[in-house]
Amino acid sequence: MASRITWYATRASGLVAWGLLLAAIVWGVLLATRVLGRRPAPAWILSLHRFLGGLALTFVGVHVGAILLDTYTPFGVADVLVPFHASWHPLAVAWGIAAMYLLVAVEITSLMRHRLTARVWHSVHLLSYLLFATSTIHMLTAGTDAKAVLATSSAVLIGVMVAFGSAAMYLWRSEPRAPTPRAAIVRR
Amino acid sequence: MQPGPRKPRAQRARRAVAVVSVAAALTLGGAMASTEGTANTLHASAAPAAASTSSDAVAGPRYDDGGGSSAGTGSVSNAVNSVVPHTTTRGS
Repeated sequence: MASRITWYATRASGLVAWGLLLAAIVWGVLLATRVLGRRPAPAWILSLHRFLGGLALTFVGVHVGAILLDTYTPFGVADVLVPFHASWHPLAVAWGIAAMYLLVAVEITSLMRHRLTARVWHSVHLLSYLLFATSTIHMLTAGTDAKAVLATSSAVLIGVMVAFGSAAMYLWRSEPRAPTPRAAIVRR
Repeated sequence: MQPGPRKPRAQRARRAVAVVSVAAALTLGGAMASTEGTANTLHASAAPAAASTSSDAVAGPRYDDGGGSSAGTGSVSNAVNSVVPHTTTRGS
């Protein structure tokens, strides 16, 4: 039982990291679209968005560290850093490695946002959607629990997120034009 | 004049998220451990029939159960892990 703790830690931390990624993306969409208005202050949403991203990276670190410490599966440092190096499900693991690198890139560029142009930062930040896709594929192909429990729930969550994001984008784009005539009248 | 409440609120939210995340990880890990422990126990009671087969046939695949620590339990452990999905997926 004690020898399996790292294996359970690997699986549990991976699932939680995926959930945190999903939450961070949802918070990012809420922030970008401003669909909630000013009721939860944008600064509060941004703060939580950043924290969710950082926490997701922390759980990814736990996920990787636990699989390295696990004596049951022979994972070395190269196996978790170099795609297709692992002998255990190389493609599934490669999706996870790609997701990890994307997450690191998004986090680093966010921390260095003031030193980057908005265009560069935004371009890298948009990779979050690719990051979520690759991590989901990793979870579904490599995760031993995903097929049993999370496959359907994750599909539902993704569907809800896409629907919510689309609706939010629609509302956001159609909203700003309304105050313009009023402002013009006031100016006259 | 209300810069004060905003910061504690954000801190509370962060702390809540962190606590929920750690709790979720512990709950998931505990659920996995209890589920697989129960499955192993249930299958272990039915294992003698499977264990009566040749141990070479059970341990034939290169991945078997992957458990160096379970070498002492021999064919029973391998038979159990050949049935339980999680441990089978793990080593495959």
